[in-house]
Amino acid sequence: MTGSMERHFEHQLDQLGAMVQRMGGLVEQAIGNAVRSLVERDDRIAAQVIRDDAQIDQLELEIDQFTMELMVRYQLAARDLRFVMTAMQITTDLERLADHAGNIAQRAIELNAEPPLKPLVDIPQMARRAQEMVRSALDAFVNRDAEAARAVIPLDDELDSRMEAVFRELLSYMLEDPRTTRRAIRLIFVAKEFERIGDEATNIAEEIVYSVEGKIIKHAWIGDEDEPRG
Amino acid sequence: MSVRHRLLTVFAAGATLAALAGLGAAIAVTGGGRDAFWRLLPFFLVPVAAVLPLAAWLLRRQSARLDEVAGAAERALTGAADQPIPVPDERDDLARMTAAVESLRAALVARVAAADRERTLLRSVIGRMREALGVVGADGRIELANDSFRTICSVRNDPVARPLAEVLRAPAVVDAVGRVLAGEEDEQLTWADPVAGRSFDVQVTAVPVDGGSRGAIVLLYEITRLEALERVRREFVANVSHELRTPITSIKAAVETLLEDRCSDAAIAMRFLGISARQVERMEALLADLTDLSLIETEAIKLEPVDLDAGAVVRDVIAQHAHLAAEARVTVETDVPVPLPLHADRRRLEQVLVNLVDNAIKFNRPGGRVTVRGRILDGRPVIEVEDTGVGIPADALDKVFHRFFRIDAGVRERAGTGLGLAIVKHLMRLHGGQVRVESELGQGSRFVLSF
Repeated sequence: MTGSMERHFEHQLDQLGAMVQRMGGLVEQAIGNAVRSLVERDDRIAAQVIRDDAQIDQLELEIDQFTMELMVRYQLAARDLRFVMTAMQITTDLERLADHAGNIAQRAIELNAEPPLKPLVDIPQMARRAQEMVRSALDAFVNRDAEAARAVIPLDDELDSRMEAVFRELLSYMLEDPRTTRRAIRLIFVAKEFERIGDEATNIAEEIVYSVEGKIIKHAWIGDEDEPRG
Repeated sequence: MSVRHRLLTVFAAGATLAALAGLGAAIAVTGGGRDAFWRLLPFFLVPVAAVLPLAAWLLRRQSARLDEVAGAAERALTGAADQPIPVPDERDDLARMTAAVESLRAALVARVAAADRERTLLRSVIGRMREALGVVGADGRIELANDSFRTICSVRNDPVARPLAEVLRAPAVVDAVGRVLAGEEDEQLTWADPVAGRSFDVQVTAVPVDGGSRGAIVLLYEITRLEALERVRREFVANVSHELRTPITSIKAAVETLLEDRCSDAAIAMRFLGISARQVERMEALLADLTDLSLIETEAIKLEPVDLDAGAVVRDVIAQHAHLAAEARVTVETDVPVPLPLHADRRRLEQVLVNLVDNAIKFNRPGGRVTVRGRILDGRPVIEVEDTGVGIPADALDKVFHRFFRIDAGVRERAGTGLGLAIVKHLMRLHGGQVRVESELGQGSRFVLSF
């Protein structure tokens, strides 16, 4: 690559980072709003989450297009290629995270139509943990930090065990009073969404570990780690 | 070619020309022929040749001094600026020039020091500001970021020189900055960090940065606490109106029924009047609690502490609640040493105990037990009120002392005003003591008063 081309390429990488940050920000906001719509029993916030999903989907398409062009236009060195590919993968994960937020908002609207089954205790805690996992994973991407990404992965266990606890508790509600079944099942769905959010955050973290350390490279045409750029 | 060589050349050429001109004039005056030239030549050239080394020596000396000044000026520019340049004693042009260079150097040093001080001051003021401050250049890259600003960036490394959009995961803020950089009006917005639970008032202002291009200042002022206070206020108003509306609705329904019915059936009339009386009592209690709480919170009430026997107060309070306990089929026991000396305001101590015993009975189960224990712990009196009731979930333990906090909306009917424990907390604080709670869900709770 010539000097000016290289500068242009650096600029493109910055722009890709900025696009992923934007999408991450929108997704964090969507999850946060979904939690609020649930805890504060606010349908308007829930509707907002569902509306905002289109914007996130659109951004996913834009990032896909952008990364494709990058890969076609430039002969990427291994390191850069891994970064670009990881950005692409994370984008897919983020899009799914936004879907989970939308599902939670949908359940919130349904739950708000009925009196509260019980004060929410475990679910907001699951939400907080899931949100922190997403943030840590995205931060690890921005910082290209495999260690920080690795630290996200074990957090998922706590979400899984909390999911189990929520399930048991709500099951006992249903057994005691079958009239609670509908609300209890919706709450179980909500808890499940947060568990999935934890799973997606774990996916992102794993992809970052591979991206930074270059341990798994699926495509044979990628050059060596030490290959100079351009 | 150095100045010295140039001067020497000019001098030599000038002297030679002058000698030749003199020679020509001498020849013309004497009217001598061709050999007059050769005869007279030495008389003109020898002095010139003799003076040349002297001139060279003088020039060398001057130019050495020039070198010195130039060297000192160079040193001053390349770092050792605080070394003064020695000004020679001679009173010639060169000395004056050296003095001028020296005063230039001194002024420069002072100017740089002043700028340094100013920069250090500015940097530490901006750096320590609680508001997050960032300056973004026309290219969207961060030119300056203070400590607070760095904490809201998602990068751990220095965000300076990186694009704002890449280091700040806040699309709303990034977009506002983009618009201001593109020439639109300054913007003001609120941004809530959805994960950290912090909210900010954000101000984006256009500012000329170097080269006159358009940059933007981003100033984030944290309003998390303000928002929390505002929420408390809103909830308080909502709670009070709700608490008042419930009894008023009951009374209104009762009175309307009585009016329609024209009190034709005395038994029914009595029932509705009874309902009204109970609801009026409830409103009265709520208003009394509200007044108490506001007086206590603003510390407008004065305690009148006396030496008293806490055991006697406990027994009084329990006697007042005998009826309520019997109705709820709850046994109330005391285990207080006689006497348990305590220095406290009797009326307020009673108020604390009434609230706790009342709750302990109301949130119990039929066949349950309430135990009031008194003892001396580390020389200080401690009173515990323990029940075998529904208990408090772990995450609600610190909230039970908040105004209007209720663990479960379902128990509203049997609960009091929702202000009791807030009053207890403040009264204990006024007494220089404290109240804490331990609880196990489904097993019961224990409130511990220490003085």
